[in-house]
Amino acid sequence: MFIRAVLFFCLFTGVFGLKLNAQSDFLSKRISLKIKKQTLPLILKQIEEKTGATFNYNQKIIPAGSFSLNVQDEELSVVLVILLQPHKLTYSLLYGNNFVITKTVTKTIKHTISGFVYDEETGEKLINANIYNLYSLRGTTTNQDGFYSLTLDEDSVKMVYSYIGYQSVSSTFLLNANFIYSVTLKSTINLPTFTVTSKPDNTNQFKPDEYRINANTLKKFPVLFGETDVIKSLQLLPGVSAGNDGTTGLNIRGGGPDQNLILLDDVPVYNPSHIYGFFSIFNSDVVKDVTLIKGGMSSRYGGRLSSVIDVRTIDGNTKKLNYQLSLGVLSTKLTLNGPISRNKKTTMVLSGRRSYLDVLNSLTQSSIFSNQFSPIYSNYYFYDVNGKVNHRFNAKHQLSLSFYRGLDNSFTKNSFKAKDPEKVIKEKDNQNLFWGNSIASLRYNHVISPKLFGWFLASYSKYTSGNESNYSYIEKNDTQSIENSYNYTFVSVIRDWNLMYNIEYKPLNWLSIKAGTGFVFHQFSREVSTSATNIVKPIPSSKEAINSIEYNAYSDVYIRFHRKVSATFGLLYAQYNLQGIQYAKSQPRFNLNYRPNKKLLVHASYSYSMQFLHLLTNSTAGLPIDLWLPSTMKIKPEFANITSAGISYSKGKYLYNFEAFNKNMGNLIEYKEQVNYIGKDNNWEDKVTSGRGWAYGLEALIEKRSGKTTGWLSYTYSWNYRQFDAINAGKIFPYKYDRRHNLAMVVNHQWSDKWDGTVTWVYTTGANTTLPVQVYYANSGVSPDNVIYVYGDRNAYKFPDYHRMDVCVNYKKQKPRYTRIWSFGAYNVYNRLNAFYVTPTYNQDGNRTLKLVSLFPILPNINYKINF
Amino acid sequence: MFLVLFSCRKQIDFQLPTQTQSLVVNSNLCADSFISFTLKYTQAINDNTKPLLENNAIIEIFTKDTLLLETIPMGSNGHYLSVNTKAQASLFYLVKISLPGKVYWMGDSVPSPSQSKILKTDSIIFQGKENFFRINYQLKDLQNGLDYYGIKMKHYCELYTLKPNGDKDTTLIEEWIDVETIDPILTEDQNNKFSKKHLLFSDKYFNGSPIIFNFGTGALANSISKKTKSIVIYMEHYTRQAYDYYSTLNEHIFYQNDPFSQPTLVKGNINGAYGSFTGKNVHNDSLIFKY
Repeated sequence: MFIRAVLFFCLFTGVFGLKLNAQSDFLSKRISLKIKKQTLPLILKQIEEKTGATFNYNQKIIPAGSFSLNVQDEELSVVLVILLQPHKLTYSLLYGNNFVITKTVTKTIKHTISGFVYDEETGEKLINANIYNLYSLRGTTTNQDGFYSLTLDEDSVKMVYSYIGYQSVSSTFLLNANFIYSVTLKSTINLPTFTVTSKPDNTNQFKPDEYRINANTLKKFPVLFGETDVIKSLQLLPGVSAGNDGTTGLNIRGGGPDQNLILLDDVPVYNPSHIYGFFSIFNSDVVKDVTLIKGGMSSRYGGRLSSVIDVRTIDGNTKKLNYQLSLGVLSTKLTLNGPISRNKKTTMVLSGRRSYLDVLNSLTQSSIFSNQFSPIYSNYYFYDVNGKVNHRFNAKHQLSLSFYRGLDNSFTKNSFKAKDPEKVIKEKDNQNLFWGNSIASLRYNHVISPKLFGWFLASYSKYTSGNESNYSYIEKNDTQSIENSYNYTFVSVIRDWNLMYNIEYKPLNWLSIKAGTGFVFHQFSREVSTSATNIVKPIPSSKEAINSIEYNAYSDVYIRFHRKVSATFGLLYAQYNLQGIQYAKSQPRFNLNYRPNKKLLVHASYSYSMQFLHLLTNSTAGLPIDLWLPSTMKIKPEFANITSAGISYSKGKYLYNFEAFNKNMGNLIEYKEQVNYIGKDNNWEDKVTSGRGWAYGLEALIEKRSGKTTGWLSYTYSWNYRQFDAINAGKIFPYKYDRRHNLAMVVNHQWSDKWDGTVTWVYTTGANTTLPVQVYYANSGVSPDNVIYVYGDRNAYKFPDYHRMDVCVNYKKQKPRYTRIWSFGAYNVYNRLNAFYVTPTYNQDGNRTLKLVSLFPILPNINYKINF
Repeated sequence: MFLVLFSCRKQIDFQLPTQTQSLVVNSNLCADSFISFTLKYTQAINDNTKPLLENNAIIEIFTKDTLLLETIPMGSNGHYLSVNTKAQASLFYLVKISLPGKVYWMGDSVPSPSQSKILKTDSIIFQGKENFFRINYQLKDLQNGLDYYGIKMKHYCELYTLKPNGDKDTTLIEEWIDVETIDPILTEDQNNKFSKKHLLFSDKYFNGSPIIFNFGTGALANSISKKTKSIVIYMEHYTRQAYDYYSTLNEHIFYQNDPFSQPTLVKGNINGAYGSFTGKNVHNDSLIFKY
């Protein structure tokens, strides 16, 4: 009867969406207590004294005996759960500071509350938002589609919805049926949103191996040439080692850049870089969220060894049409984003970016170099276009169609025309190097039931690289015409057609299951097309295509065994077929979390991964001559065993995360010594060699997550080695980016609503390099004394230590109809000459010496963005 | 381009461990020439003294059947010249170099002469260059498996300078010049991009057939201060070992300062030593210019 009265009161005061912030605040009161062997009423009495709360209960339900309680700076809601739950007691907040303590009903009915969490201003779904019941501290987070599902006992509940940088919303109601309940959260301008970790408290979903950067955080990073870069921002995290200075190379826990599964809205991207690896293809204006998973990966992710970089783009503003123009030193971006149907159920995003190096360069060249006898014109440009159309049929069904197209083009044009009384001559010689990705996907999300969410994806991903050469010579006079021409095109293409279906099922609060299956059709083709007029055509046109099929099925089962212990058991089965060859392997994954108290998390993970595709590269600069190749009879799939363990601790505004990892990799491939490029050769398998690699190390992260000044300090202490029978005479050698120490410091400060600034500082041990250690002189046939270098052991020498500081200051001005943002900053503020490479050369005295070449001195930048 | 503009350089000192010096063999095994060798040693990258020469080696030249042809007992300035053994086309030579505590063996054959000739020459406009001197050249290839070739051009010219007293001073210059071409036969071989002065190619596209190709030079001079006197075209027929050596040597030089390439190793044919002992047969054609 009493409970019913309480429930009635709850319904009366705060049902369905009514915000009870005063009550929330009361439950959030922090207390410290150290009580030894006292009766429960006495303990409650002391809590009453500390907090001003009043507890009402029936003496009969209170257990006899003495109990202890030891809590330090804990919220009242947590203290009550710790105190009452072991005795099968629960509490409800009646009004003000009055609580009622009741017996937990043993065979209670359970209901599920599910829905989406949206941004109030744009209607965008929020990924990884926290949802929990304040009374029981049971919680969950939204998935990549902003969906959550939480099964709770039939009772009054107080649901709290929170997301970093947004005002929390709480709702109290009686949960007596399955509910679909979606909420919108309002962003807080005053609070900085500069963080890379999920909130470790209030949720069981905190993943220590996972870092998340949302759009707000991303836009505050200092930039190179005014381009905010998704991939480079990840280089500041523990366990991540950057490639060459200024590039987007990511070596995660000792893996190579090809071992990262880079997903753009769940579609794999094969080359994530523009301008020879100096910028990533991801346009920051349409990126909503980036997640880096470097260990304990879900079984959903297969096909790469080291990590997952999951880039999510915005779905489109559901409230109003939004225009955004961004002018940088290197490129211009224009983004349109908003509803395209009257009912605002259909939204679209269209964003384009183009570099203007070629425009500036052509102006320079035309004025300085161009003349009749030197008409050679070299240039470069890149562009990319992102598009998405999203339709919400209702709260349960959503369809989205998205595409990406990007291209880099480096070209040389040489044309000549001459006319005299006797003849006319026209000559053209054009060379062209190009590469780019094309991606399209169709995604259908549906909420099958409050406990079951499903999504289907059909996608196409294509990566093209190649070169083209066109020559023509025409000579005409009164009597005859001579025409010579030769055209040559080499194109290497990898295409993926992918179908997958996934479900997320949460039947119980302590159990959730993710499962799915997929099919990928890979096609690797290399095409040579030639044509010639009056010239011998040495290479016939040819087209070679290799097809392979990959099936996979996975399941991840999350079980919370106890309030303090949870685990995820995963299994991915992948089968790869190529021309009668089959590789099939079950890939187990395992995660264990032990949470002795709310602030401390001890975790361990193991995963076995297999990679069927290999990237053959002679550098980590993301050059377009890098080739993706399939596993064959001779070249077996790469595999890795990764184990990690660590401790996470949060206190107040700070998070501390310490981890140790060990990774063993097999069947890695590299060019054999003396081979730089495969090109159109068909015998590529003979030019590569297989070997193994291993890495281990310790990582630390200290993050300040809230306040006007936020940021983090990350440090990695690691070792990373390789061994190939056909390289370095079979001897073990350090990986190029075996950086013993890797330190990054990131500080963001918000002075006011208008001004904020970020400083980053990185310090790493220098990268390894192979140096010439001896010389001799050889006759090349045209020169008698050519200096020939004798190289030492592979990667036996280290560049000087690398360190760099970048700064960025943003000024935001809110006008009635638009917002404009000025960004000022500098890359490499104190002008450190960091090594890009070391080369032997001669000094002014004519003596041979080694010189360090650095690409980036201090580079100031300015960026202007206007948002309508 | 912008990266090059921004790049900065500074001298740097690496602590390099002491390396054992290795023997370097430069040799000449050319048809109708006396076989010769130069023996030196490698030196540390930061050692700017002259390389150490080896004059105390004993070099023995054998036939394919290990019949001793000649012994060269001592060198001068690291140079060893046979006095009796002229290399002959289609013969294989085996060489033993003996040093205190070390012996090096090497061997290669001398290829047959290439049958080639100039068909015609003319002056055209090529890639914007007026008075480009074009050579129409024929090579008759032998049908005996893959053959390897190289083309080089040497330019002889006179430079005229005025002395203070008004007299004209003439200097004869000889220089290797670029072999300029867009001929697919000469440009499609992966190895010939590494040196324009030494175009390497194989007969894989015309094995056993006569082939005509075009190449030329824009380096001819006919001015008051400089006049071309002649051009000599060298058509060299190589063994596979020689082709590998020259192509990797050119590649090594080409990539020496390229940060994006792997260190390229020069493919020699002497175990335990650098350099090579490889055979070639040279055919040359001269073009004399008269004004």
